[in-house]
Amino acid sequence: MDWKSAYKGMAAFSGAVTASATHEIKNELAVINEQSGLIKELLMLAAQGREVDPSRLESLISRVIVRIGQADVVIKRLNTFAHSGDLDRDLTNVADSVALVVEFYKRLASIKGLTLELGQMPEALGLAHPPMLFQQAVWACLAGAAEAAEKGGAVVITAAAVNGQTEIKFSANYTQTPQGPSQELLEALGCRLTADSGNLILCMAE
Amino acid sequence: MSEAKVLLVDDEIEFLESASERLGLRGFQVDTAENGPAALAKIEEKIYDAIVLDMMMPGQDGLETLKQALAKKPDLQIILLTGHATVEKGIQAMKAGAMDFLEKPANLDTLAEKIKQGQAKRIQIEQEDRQQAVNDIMKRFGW
Repeated sequence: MDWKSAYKGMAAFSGAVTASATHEIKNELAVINEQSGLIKELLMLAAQGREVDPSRLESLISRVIVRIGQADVVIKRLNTFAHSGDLDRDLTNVADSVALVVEFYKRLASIKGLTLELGQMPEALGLAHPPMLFQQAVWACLAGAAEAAEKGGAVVITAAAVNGQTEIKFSANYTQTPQGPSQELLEALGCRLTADSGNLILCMAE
Repeated sequence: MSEAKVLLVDDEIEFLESASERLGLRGFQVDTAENGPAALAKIEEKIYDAIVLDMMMPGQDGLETLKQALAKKPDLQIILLTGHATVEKGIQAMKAGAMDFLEKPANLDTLAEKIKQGQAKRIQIEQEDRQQAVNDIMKRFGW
């Protein structure tokens, strides 16, 4: 793969992940904004002598804390993703990387009316590739699967070691043939796409 | 002007609960819907002064809901809410017939002001339609 193609693909992938994550954070902030605004207004009413149930305030504050926690989870995930591009990282833990990309893709899948489910994923599976390159391939498979899967259903992602290779399978009820990463990316990763009962499989050397 | 009737549409239930209570404290009559089809059903049943619609929702998104709502009731005043307000999205929303476009998290006082503007515009359109109907009748009878 020449550097321009690699750069374009990586920039588009990083941009899509960042856009999805920041959208999630914005949603959390929108809820926190409304809840904290409501707390302020209820306290103002109380100061004017209106009766305000303290348990109502307590419940709203608890929800604000929960939503801050949820936003923090997305920020930590985004930070993990950012560091998966560190130049000194040339090994990938399959389970961690797939789980990370799946979390980022869940919102987009939900907009398309699909759910993503993580199935069997052995902890010890590793690959001799930089994580971000592998994550880009998983993202492309998820995008292809979400496009081709029957709406209202689920895409189940599993991984297994098969005959010295790592296989990541994207199973769903497909209404058309799912597409995967570009040929250039597959070549850069030294992997190939296969199909089993119509399901999309990413095969790569361990 | 009577209190404005507004329909809040968002898939985030906690957002709906808090925002509707805050708008209620400001004297608005608020209904909520958690998705596009539910919003379209409510629009069929009731006259709203303004619809506040989240742009990104699972299944049927805000823009599609807006188009279907305006196809049913072209005079609806729809304010779109989005996580990231870009110029492109703004143009897309306005071209589709939105009254306005706000970025989340939105300032509730700004939103309340937009809803009031929506109400004023809806009343104006209603009055113009009524006047037009009267003019048509008068013309038909040669008065």
